Amino acid sequence: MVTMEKEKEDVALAHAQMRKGMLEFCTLLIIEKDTAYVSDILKELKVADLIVVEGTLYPLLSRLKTEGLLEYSWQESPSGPPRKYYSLTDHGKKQLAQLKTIWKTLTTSINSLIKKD
Amino acid sequence: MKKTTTISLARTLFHIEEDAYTTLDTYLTAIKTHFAHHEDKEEILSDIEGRIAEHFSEEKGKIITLAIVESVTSAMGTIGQFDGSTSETVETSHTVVSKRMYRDPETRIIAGVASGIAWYLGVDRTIIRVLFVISLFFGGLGAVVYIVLWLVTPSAQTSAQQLEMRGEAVTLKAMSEVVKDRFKELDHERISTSAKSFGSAIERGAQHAASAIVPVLKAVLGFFVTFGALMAAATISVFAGLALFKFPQKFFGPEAASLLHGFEYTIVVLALYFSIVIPVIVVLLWGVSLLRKKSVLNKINVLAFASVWFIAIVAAGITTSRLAYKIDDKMMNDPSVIRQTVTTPLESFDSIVVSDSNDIEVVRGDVYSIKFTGSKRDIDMVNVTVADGALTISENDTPQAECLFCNRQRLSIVVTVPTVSRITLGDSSSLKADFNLADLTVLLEDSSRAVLSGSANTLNLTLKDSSHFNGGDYKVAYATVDIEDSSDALLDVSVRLIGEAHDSSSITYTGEPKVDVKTVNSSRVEKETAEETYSN
Repeated sequence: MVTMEKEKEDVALAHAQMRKGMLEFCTLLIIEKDTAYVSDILKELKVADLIVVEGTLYPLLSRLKTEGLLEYSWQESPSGPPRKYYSLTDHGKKQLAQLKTIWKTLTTSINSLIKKD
Repeated sequence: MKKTTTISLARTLFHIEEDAYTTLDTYLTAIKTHFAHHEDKEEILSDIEGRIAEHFSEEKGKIITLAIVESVTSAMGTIGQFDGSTSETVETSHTVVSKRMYRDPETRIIAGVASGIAWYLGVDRTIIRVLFVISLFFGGLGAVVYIVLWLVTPSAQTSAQQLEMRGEAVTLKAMSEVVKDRFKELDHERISTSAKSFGSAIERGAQHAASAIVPVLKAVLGFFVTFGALMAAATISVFAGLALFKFPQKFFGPEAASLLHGFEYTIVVLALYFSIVIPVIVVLLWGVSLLRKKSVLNKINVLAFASVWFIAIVAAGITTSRLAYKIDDKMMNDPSVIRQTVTTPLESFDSIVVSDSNDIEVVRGDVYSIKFTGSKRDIDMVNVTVADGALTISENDTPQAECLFCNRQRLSIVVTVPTVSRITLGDSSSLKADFNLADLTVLLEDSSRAVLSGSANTLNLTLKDSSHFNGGDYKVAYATVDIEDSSDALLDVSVRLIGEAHDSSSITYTGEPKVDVKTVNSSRVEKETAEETYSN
C-alpha cells in the first residue's frame, strides 16, 4: 500500500524533475522576448511556477553565459546599484529555435498520449 | 534590546540585528564554500548578494531582522535546493576539508603570525611564540621571518577562512559557531585596550604608508628606468650610426676596410643594432608604464617586439660570423701585414742616432747596410737618412693606416757597419750590439736601453732619464761614465773607471779598475760581488 504521504512526495519529485528540465528552455524564452534582468526573469518563472528557489537561477545563468548562449550589459537602475540585463547571442537564438522545434514535437506526442486515455 | 551592526551588500548599507547577521553570514559562507571551485564563483556570489540586497531594499530602510533574513534566504533557497538545476561540476565541492595557513586576528599579540603557524601545525601557540622570541637572539632572524610571514600570509577574516585555518570541515554548524565567537570577540575588543589594538594600529598604519609610498616609488623608478633606457637607446643608436657611416678602419686595417661597406655590412650592423636596442625599448616601455600607471605593453606589441628581436638575433648570428671570417681572412693576407725582409745599402757614416722608440741591433760587417724584418706597413713607418756622417733612424711623419686588431710581430732593424764611434738613443729606443772597437761613445736618453758585448779600448757613456746600460759582457780598458736621474750601468772595466753619478743612479762594475767616480744625491758605485747577479 502506498500512503498518501509517500504519494505526495513522489509527485513533488516528478514535478521537480520536470521543472528542472524546463528551466533552461523557459529562461531562454523569457530572455528572447526582451532583454531582462534577474528580477524580471524570476518574476516570470515564479508566475509560471517553474522555479521554487531563486538561487537556482544564478548557476544556470552562469552556465548559459559560459556556453555562449547569453550575454549581458550593465544598465543603470532607477533605484539601487546598476543591473545586468541579459540578452540572447546569435548562438543562443539558433539553439533556442532548435529547442522550440523539439518542444513542438514533444508536446504533440505527449498530447496524443494523453488523448488516448 | 538587540544589538545591530552595519553591513555593506552590493554596495548598499543595511542595519542588521546580530542574530540576523549570524544567519546571513552563515548562509553566504555556505554558498561561497559551495561554489568555491566553480569557475564563475565571483560573479555568481556577487549576483546572489545583489539579489539579497534587492530583497532587503524592499524593506525601505527598516532594520533587517532575523525574520527578514529567513524569508529572503528561503526565497533564495538552500544549497541543496540549488542543486536542482546546477551543472554537474559543482556538486563535488561539498565536503572538501582543506587546511591553509592564515594569520589569526582573534588570538594575535602582534599580527597573529605565531597563532596562524600554531593552527597550521596543530601545536600550542605559546610554543611558537617562545620559538620566535628565542630566534630573535640569532641576529634578529625571528623578526625578519615574522615580518615576511606577516606580509605573505592573509589574515583569517571570514568564518570560512577561520575554519580553513583550523582545518575544520566547513559545515553550517561549525560556521555559525565561528560567527558567534567573532561577535563575542568584537564585544571584547571594544572594552579592552589590549596589545592587540597596538598590532592592528601598526598594521593599518603600515597599509596607509604603503598605499602612499608605493605610487611615489613607482613614479621614481619609472622615471629612472625611462631616462636610463632612453640614454642607452640613444647611445646604441649613435654607435650604430658611426659604425654605418664612419666605419672604424683602424681596427681592421686598410684591406679589411673594403668589407666594412655595402649590403652585407649594413645588415650586420642593423641586425646587431636591433638585437641590442629592442630589449632596451621594452625596458623603456616598462618605465613609461610605471610613469603613466597604465601598461603600454600589451600582448600584440610584446609579440611584435619578440619576433623582430628573434629575427635580428638569428640574422646577427649568421651574418656577423660570416663577415668576421672574411675580415679575419683579409687581415691575415693583407700585404701590408705579411712579414718580409728588406735590406738596403747605405752610405758610410760614423755615428748612429735612434729615436721614436725604435729597436735596433748593430753588427759588424764589411759594408754599411740596414735590414728590416717586419710588415710592409711597419717598415714604411721607419724613416732612415744618412747625412753628415750620421745615420738617423726615426719615425715617418706621414700617418699610416692603423690596424689595432691585426696580428703583428715587432719590427726588427739590423744595422751592419764596418765601424762606428758614436751611438745615440732617445725616446725609449733600444740597442743591441756585439763588436770590437777602439773607441765608442754611447748616449742613452729617455728610458732607452742598451746591451753591448764585445770589447773596446775606451767607452764614453752618458745615461739620462732612467736609462739602462748593460755592458757586463763588454770588456773595456778605460771607461768614462756620466750618469744621472735613476739610470743604471753595468760595466766590465779593466784599467780605469772615472766619471760622475747623480740623483739615485748606480754604477756596478766588474774587473779591477782604478775607480774615481763622484757620487751625488744617493747615487752609488760598487763592485759586483759574487752573490749579486745583475739582472736586466
